[in-house]
Amino acid sequence: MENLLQFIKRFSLLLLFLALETVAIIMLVQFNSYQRSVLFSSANWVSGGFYQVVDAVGGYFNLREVNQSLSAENAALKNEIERLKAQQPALVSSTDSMLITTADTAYWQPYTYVAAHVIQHSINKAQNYITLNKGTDDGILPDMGVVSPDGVVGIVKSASRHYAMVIPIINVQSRISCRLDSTQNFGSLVWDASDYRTAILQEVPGHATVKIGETVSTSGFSAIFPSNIPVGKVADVTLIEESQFLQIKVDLSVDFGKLAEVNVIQFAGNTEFKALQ
Amino acid sequence: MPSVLPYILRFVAVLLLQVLLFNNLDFMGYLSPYIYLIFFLRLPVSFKTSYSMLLGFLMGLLVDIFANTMGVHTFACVLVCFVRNGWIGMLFSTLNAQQDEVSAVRVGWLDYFKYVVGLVLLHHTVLYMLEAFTFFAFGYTLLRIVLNTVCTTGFVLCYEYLRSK
Repeated sequence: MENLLQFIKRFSLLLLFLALETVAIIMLVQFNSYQRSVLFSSANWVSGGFYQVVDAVGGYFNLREVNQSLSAENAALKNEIERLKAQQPALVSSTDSMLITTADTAYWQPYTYVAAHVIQHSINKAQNYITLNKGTDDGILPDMGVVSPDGVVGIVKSASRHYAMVIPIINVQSRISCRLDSTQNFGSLVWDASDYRTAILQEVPGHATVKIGETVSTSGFSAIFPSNIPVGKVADVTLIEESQFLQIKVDLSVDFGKLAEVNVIQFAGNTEFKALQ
Repeated sequence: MPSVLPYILRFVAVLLLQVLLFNNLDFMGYLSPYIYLIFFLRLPVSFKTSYSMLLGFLMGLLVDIFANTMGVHTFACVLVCFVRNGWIGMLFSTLNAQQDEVSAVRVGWLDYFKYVVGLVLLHHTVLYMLEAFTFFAFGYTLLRIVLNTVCTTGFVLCYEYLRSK
C-alpha cells in the first residue's frame, strides 16, 4: 500500500497526463455514437444557442445576397407550378380507370421540405460540419438529406430538440450515391479534404464516356435524396489503371463558403424503405 | 491566490476570440490559426503543470464543442501543457523560475520564436493528424500543418510585439 501511494505520488503528473489524454481519445472515438454527438457538439443547447445569437448579428451582412437567391428560387418554383397547372387538364381528361389506379400515388407526396437556417459551418477542416437552427421538434431526424437552392449540401448526422448537425459533402466521412446525367452511370461522391469547391466521384466504370462539364446529380438510390438533385459539374476525368475505375473531379454546385438557407428533406416512406432493406 | 481573476478573464477572452473570430477565418479552405495557444504560452513559468493540463483539458474541450472536433483539441492542448515546462527548461536553462512569464523582451526574440514555434508545431501536428485520423490525403494534412503553424506563430509574435511596445 505504502509503495503504491509512493508510486502514485512520484508519477502523479504522468498519470494525470495519461488520464486526460485517455479521456480525449475516448471522446474522439466515441463521437460517432449518436447520443454523445448530440451532447458534445454544436448541436447542444449551449453552443447551439450561442451560435444562433452570433448568427443573428452576422446574418444582417449578407441579407441582400440571401434575398436574391430566395427570390430566384421563388421564381423557379412559380414557373414549375405554372408548368404543372398546364399539364393538369390533360391528366384529368384521361380515362376514368386511369385516374382510379393512379389516384393514391398522385396524391402521395413522398418528399417534404423543411426550411432551415445555417447557424455555423466550417470549410477548412478535413471533417467539416454544419449546424442548423431546426431539430427534432421540427421533425428533423438523423439520415435526412439537406439541400440548398443550388444543390446537395449533405446529410443530417444528429439532432437535438432545436438544432441539427449536418455532415456536408466536404467532410471526409461523407459518401453520397450520384449519377452522371448523360450516361446514367452511378458512382459515389467523396471528398479528399483538399478544396471545398470540388469533390471526387468514384467507382464509375472505366468504359463510361464522361464529358467535361456534364451535370452530376443524386441517384435516388437511397431514401435520403430524391433523384436528380444537382450535385455539381464534371471538371476532370482520370482512369485509375489498377482498378479500371474512373476518378472524376466534380465542381460542386453549392458554394460551401457562403451557405445560409437550406432545406431538409423528409422522406415519408423512410421507415418502410428501411424495413425492406 | 494573489490574482486569479486576470487569468479567468484572459481564458474567456482567448476562447471567445478563437470561437467567434478565428474559427471563422476561411482562407482558401486551409488556414485556421489556433490563437488560444497564447493563453498557455503566457502562463507563468512557475505555474504547476498539473493545473495547466487541467486548464488545457477545459480549453480544448470547449473549443472542440464549438468546432465539432470532439477530443482533437483536447488531446493536442493537454499534450502542449504537459511538455511546456520541460520545453522551457530546455530552452531557457538560465531563466529564473521566479520570473512570472516567458516574454520576448526577457529571453530575446530568437529564443522566444523557438519557444513558440516548438509548441505550436507540436500542437498543430497532433491536431491535424488526429483530425484526418488516418494518413488519408497526407499531403494536404502536411500542408495544413505547415501553413497553420506559420500562421498561428505569426499571430502570436504580432501579439507579443504589440504587447512589448
